[in-house]
Amino acid sequence: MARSIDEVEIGDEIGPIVHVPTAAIVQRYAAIVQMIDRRFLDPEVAHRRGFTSPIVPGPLSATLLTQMLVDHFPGWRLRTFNVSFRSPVKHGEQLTCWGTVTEKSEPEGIATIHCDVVAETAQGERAVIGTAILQRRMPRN
Amino acid sequence: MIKVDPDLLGKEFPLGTFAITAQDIRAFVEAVGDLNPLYLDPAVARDAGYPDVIAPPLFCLQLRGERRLPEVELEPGFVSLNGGQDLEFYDDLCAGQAYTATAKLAEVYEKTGRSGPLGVIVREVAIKDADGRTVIFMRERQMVRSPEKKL
Repeated sequence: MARSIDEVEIGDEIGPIVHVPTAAIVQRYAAIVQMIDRRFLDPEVAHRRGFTSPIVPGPLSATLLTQMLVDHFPGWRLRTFNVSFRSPVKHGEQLTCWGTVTEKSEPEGIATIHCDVVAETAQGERAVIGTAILQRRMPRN
Repeated sequence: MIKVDPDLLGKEFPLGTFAITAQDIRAFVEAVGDLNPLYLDPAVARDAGYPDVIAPPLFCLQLRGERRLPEVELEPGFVSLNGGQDLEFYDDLCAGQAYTATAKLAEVYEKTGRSGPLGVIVREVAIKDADGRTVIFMRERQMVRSPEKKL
């Protein structure tokens, strides 16, 4: 059921949703997106490239954040999504995704929500931070 | 740490034309565990006004490919990291449609980060539909640093 903008308040919490991107998940993602960079899969390459072990690709962590937003706001779509990868996430490391509604408005009659989003490790390190703007999905012809 | 031909800055490079299928979308969403019916069930997508299933937002990253074009040469010993992405979504990518992607090198600069000198390469990718309308615009930051400090 689509949520109306009146049901959304500034400060509303989104999530938390806990994910554990394992090596198997990274391998599946790498195969689908035809990832050629072996640092995400091969410990030796990762070490040569400055990492202690293979890491989770940033776009995979970012995908988990967009999934959380779209699932939390059925009937809405992402209009913008800005994300920064602050620290590497190792395979099998727990990532807690959460967000907060920071603003809501209706410019030109289009219901719009602004959110901050975070993907945090079990150690409390903010591995991925970002902002998003969502708009109500408009009826299409 | 970054060697760049100034002629590359601002020049547009074609990444290709991509026909997206429902199978492509299904493979992606199953890999990431995102089973929203808009991505999987044509009837649900049609009820929402789409001709077929749509792709989740970051499906678009696979259209620009894993190679970062245009390529920029790094000095030996330096490594690169994905710094982040800024995306603008003007419409959804839909199965059964073809899209054309282009990339350009927008900025290259160096600065001092938390762990020392850092190079930043900014690329822009535009994904357009068959009518030439921009569907997604993306700005990506590739960070370049010394590998001495293990992360």
